[in-house]
Amino acid sequence: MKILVAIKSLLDSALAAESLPPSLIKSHVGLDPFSEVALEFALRWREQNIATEVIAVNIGTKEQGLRTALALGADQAIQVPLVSRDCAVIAEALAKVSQILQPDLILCGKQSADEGNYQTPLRLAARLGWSQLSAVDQLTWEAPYIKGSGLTAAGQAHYQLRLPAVIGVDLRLATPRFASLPNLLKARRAPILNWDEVAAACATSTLNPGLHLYEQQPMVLQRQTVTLANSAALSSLLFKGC
Amino acid sequence: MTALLILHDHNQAHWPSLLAAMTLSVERFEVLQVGEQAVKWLPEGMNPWWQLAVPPLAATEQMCQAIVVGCQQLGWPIEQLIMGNDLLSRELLPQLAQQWGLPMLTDVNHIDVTGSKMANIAPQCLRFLRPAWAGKIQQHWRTEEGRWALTLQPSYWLTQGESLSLAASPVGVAQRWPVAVLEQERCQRQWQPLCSERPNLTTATTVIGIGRGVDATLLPLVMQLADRLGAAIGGTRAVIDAGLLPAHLQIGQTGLAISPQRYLALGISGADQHLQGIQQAQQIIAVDRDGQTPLMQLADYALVGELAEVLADLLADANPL
Repeated sequence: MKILVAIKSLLDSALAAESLPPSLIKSHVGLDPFSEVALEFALRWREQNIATEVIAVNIGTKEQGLRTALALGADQAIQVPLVSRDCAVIAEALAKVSQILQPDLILCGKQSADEGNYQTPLRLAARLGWSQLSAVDQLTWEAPYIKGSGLTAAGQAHYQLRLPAVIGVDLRLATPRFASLPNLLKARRAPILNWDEVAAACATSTLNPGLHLYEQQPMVLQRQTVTLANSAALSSLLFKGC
Repeated sequence: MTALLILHDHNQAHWPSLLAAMTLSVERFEVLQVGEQAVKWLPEGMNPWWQLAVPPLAATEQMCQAIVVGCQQLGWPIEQLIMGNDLLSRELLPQLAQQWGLPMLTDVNHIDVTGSKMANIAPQCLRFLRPAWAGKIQQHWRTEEGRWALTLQPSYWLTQGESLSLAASPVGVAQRWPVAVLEQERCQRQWQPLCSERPNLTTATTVIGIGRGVDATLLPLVMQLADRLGAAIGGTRAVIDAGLLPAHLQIGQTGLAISPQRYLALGISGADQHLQGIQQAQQIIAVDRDGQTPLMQLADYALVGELAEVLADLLADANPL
């Protein structure tokens, strides 16, 4: 089984930095936590000989996320130098990569920690006409089926489906490992393939965003905190409303 | 050009709010109800609803297919699409948006409708607000073509007091959607319904949230207090991962957004990911042993104290059931 892991580097290029407070930028560098979990899970399946190859792909211009992926054990890293916050464009780029690489399974985060769009895996599945699972917290391989479970509006769902599939992972699926220092150093010089043609094809495609981000503001939660003296005061507030 | 609102059986409590949002944003719209439950009321002056039955094993891919083909048969070129932000819309809406080539925003919490009701400049000049970065950033979006798909935080329209005149009298019978949802053999699903006697987390007026400060020994006390207050119980990711509560009760960025009239936070430090989920709470009361945590700084009422003692005091004061 060939697994393509679509990873997201946080704060890619100038996009995110537009109007974000510096404190936020400092605290978020590198791989998106949801991508970390997707990658971790793919690597576990390779270690269990379920997967033969784990390829990491990033749509963006920063290499850091892919370097981390290589240090953690990805077999190959592909960069599509395309800057967009539109999930339709990202999904289109991933679909083109997938058509070239022909993976059996695409893993990615169900959402990203920064923009939190919840769109890319689903748009990608719809674009490719593949089955999809979203927000998956358990996954096993019982050939020829992938079995998984996840939360849905109707309750906890248990799934069984055949490949190929796109799967959006929940943070509960796996706990990511840390890269060792020698591997981090080795990954610095490992090759990252640059797929400019895919980026060019997406940039010139007829995708029209139609929605435009024109402003970003830090959220200020304005609440005046009243300190309660003791639990009697809390009790009165809860049961008597004052 | 057609605007479509998709409702489903699992978010009935949010229907009035979503209908209000839709009425504000577009001139006319169609309503599609996903699920079998009978419609108890209809807002006045609206088109009859459409109802799409979904077999238990159907995947959202098949629902998407049935909706797309149905709209084709009805001759609806869908330009605006709205659902509430819940677990079904997270799966279904991006697929529909992809099929129809619509740009999409998730978790929109405000629609600026300046001018939208004026005849000539209809939906083009809408502005949308949504949170990003776990609620630390508010993004402002605008549309220039009037084509969009949105998931909405329904709580906003409820808290804003937007109301609809809901017809108390006879309801029209919903029309059956022209295309059925197929069950698909290659992708099987089964459900384990969520059963609870407590109020629903997203619609409860009082919610008790528990964090790392609550352990297994305190949980029974929390449950007693919830019973006394008629409250729903939710938790932070730490609590869910520790197995104290089931996963569907997680509040925050990766779980649910709640909008209760009051939120009682017990032993919660207030990571950004959690705060995103409680922004819409009208009153936040926090109890923790540490008075310096982000949530204690942000709450309307804060009480510094040992949870075991505070809970015991509260239960002693509460009227027995």
